[in-house]
Amino acid sequence: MSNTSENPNPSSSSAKITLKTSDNELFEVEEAVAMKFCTVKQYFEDEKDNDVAARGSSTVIPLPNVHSAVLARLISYCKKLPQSNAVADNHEEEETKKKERKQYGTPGDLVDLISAANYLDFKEGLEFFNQALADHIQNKSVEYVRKFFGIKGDFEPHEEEKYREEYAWAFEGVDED
Amino acid sequence: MSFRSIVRDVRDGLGSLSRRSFEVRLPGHHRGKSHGSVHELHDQPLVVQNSRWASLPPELLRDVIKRLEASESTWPARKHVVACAAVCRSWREMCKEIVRNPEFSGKITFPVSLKQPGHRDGPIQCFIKRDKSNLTYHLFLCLSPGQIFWAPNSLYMIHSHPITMLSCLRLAEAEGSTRKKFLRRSPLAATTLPRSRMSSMC
Repeated sequence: MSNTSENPNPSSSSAKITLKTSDNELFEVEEAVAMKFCTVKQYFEDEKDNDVAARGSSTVIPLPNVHSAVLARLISYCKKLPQSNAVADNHEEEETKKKERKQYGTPGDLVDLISAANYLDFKEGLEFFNQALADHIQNKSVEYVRKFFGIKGDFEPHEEEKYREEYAWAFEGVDED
Repeated sequence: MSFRSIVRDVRDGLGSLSRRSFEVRLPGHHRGKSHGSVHELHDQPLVVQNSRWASLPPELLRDVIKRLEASESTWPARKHVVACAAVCRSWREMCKEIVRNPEFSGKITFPVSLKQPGHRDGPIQCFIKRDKSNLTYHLFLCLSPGQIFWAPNSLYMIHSHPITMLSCLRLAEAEGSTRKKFLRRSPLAATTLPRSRMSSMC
């Protein structure tokens, strides 16, 4: 648990914080990484205030809403945080970013990643995965989007038909599901 | 059927979505409104059912749709956000809030925006510019009439993603025979829309 000798860069960031996931897995992460998660940061600071003797390495922070598989991915994303989440100016750059966003799991995983990033108040991660989700539903059929989100279309059949007729151009040339 | 009556039909048929998008909304008001809408989403009967997405706060979904909307500034790629409005009622409400009218966003979502009659000195005007080198046409939106005279270059800044005229010209096709001739002579063979669809829109 306290094996920190592997860290090749024993700087101030080498302080470790232990996070405990919903499935009782323990993650020992660098303080700099853990502080990206505002929920953890808050907890950590509160702990510090409450207990003067508490040191980062000895505090286990419980994360009952996050599964280990999801946390592992968030941490790996955190470690190689892209410079910017802003929409790229040129097309090629945007394509590269899109590919990068796809690497972090299948679209079905996004719900867990987004919900964990939201719970952890991890702003960059939330932006990144929300963008990945936007990429995913872009140019998909309405039926696919409904299925993906588990949404039931609640328009009257004639309403829906009318809309599709009026904005026929919006429903053409969508990607295959 | 006269052109005028067709236009009227189209406009009447557009429903609230496009009408909302043409409303003049002040940025300050917009903020207030969007807050209200998030609230409304809570109040509405739960649309997202039997899905893990249902547990996520609606603000997150809103952010996703905003990103989708922001990712494409040119028409017809902005169809994504229009298609999203067809998913369900709460999504439609959300999309209506997110898609802002051209005066503020500088983006044309509905091609019919080009056909909206406006005053000569209205807050939004459009200009057509021909690029001789590659025979393409660009439509520029001028958000403030003064700017085009004072600083022509600022057009590019105001609207850094010119809308290609391929579709716009076709939209304007029914407006007059001059345009028709112009279109026939112009080498704009490619278009993003099939002709049959266009006739229903013009």
